[in-house]
Amino acid sequence: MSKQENTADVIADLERRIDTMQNMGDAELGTFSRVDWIVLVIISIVIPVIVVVLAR
Amino acid sequence: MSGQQPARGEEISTKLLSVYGREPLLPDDREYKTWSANGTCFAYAIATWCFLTGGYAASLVGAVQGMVCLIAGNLIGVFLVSASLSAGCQRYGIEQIDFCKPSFGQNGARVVLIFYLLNMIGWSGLILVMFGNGIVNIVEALGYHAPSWLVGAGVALGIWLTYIITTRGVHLLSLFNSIITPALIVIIVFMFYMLISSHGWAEILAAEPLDPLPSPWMNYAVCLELGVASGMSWWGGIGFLARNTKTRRNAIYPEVLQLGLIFGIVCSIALFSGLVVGSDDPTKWMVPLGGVFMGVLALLFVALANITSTSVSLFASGLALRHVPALRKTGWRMIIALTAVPLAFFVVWPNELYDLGDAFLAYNGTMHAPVGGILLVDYFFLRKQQLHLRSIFEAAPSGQYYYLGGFNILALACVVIGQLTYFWVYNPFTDEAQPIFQFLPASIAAFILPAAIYWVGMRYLRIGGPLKAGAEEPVVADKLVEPNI
Repeated sequence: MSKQENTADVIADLERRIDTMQNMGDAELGTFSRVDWIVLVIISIVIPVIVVVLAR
Repeated sequence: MSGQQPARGEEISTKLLSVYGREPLLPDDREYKTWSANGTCFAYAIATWCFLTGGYAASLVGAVQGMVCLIAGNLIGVFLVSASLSAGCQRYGIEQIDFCKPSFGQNGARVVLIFYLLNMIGWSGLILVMFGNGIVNIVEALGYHAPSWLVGAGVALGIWLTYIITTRGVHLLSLFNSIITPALIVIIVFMFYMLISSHGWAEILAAEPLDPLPSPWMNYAVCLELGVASGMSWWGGIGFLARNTKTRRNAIYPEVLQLGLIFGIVCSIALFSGLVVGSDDPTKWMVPLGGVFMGVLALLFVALANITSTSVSLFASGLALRHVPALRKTGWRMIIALTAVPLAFFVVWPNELYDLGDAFLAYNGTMHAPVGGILLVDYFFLRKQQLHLRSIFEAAPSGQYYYLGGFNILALACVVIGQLTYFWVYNPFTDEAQPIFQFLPASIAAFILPAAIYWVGMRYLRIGGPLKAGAEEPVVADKLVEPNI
């Protein structure tokens, strides 16, 4: 396979991947709801800030 | 049968190309499920950098304040930088420098790439020096004399082992982690057990900081800053990990829990060890705490975990180097070899460069905070989690993320503003600080201010360029005009 053909294949593969990922629904990559964000914010921001203030 | 082989070979070839290159990773290409994502993050988290961070904290504060600063600071820092990176890199299967292109521009992202490579190589070098120090301590614990060149030789050995693992791919890395991770859990639990059984809580809580600053509030504030900045310094590995996960929850929860919480807890155990043993050198803790046999065993496994961590760093650096046009078609082994070349300086001057570790930590805080703030605002508040994937791979000016000459000047200016803000709030080289530093870590200030300026500039002043499809937007072709891959 020539270098030119190889480059064309790479770009064709890239185009295919772009189309697949762009058109894929969020649900196909796992659910992630507002509850997840709330849990993460509580774990990562709210509780740590409270503890830091109390320990000051 | 033979007729199927080329198709299979082609399939493997394109899959490898995407894994070792920058193409979007499709869900079927991704390696990490729940266990392996947590395992990789865990192994990444408990390498010697947490011992380094814990040792540094032991210089400033006691056990309780240190534990609070390290755990809380890490959680805050990791979450702030990982929220957008995890969500975006996992959703589109892209690595983090590509994720920077919507906000920084096609060429502006390369400025971030320079920071990124310096970060990855710096951390890798420091860890490899600690790997070398670990070998020295093992040799000495066994009653032999360790020559001065052994640290450098250990770094060279570490580079070679890292090269072997990294060039064999993510699968081997994942397999390696599945063996090392349980062993490290045992070692850390054992370390903690020895701390409690031999010294007890009372002694740990009563231990004085090793080398505190004159002002008590300053010690607490600097230690909190250390926690937040080290949490943010995970920026370098997050995109790589998230891109390889199959589900969104696996992209962010392991990062927050392992890189934030577990890292903070292990840092705290390191802090206790430093306070009790009276040394901030992590490789000197294991033998006094565990005795010769267990100490050497612990050092051995921690050293192996360091190799795993360095492998992840080098893997991510290799992917990032694909952004350099001259290296886009270079073989993976050559890419990794090139990434490892700067580490040779750590072979020649291991201790001299290791002593610059404090300055390196400060540099991390000034870089990751503003970049993290800009990416968060850009992805969640400006683009509403919708990226135009084709434009990320489009080098022609017709792409949506080309901006002015490939640079979003506003984003780059905000990074500079963030760095200046950091040094205004707290100068880590002189330990001078503004009164606001009592209430606000410098990294958080350097995160919020650039993010706010960027949001106002992009949303209302439209300094950087158009955000959504519209009449004034560049025409985006259905096919790539000038692929940047």
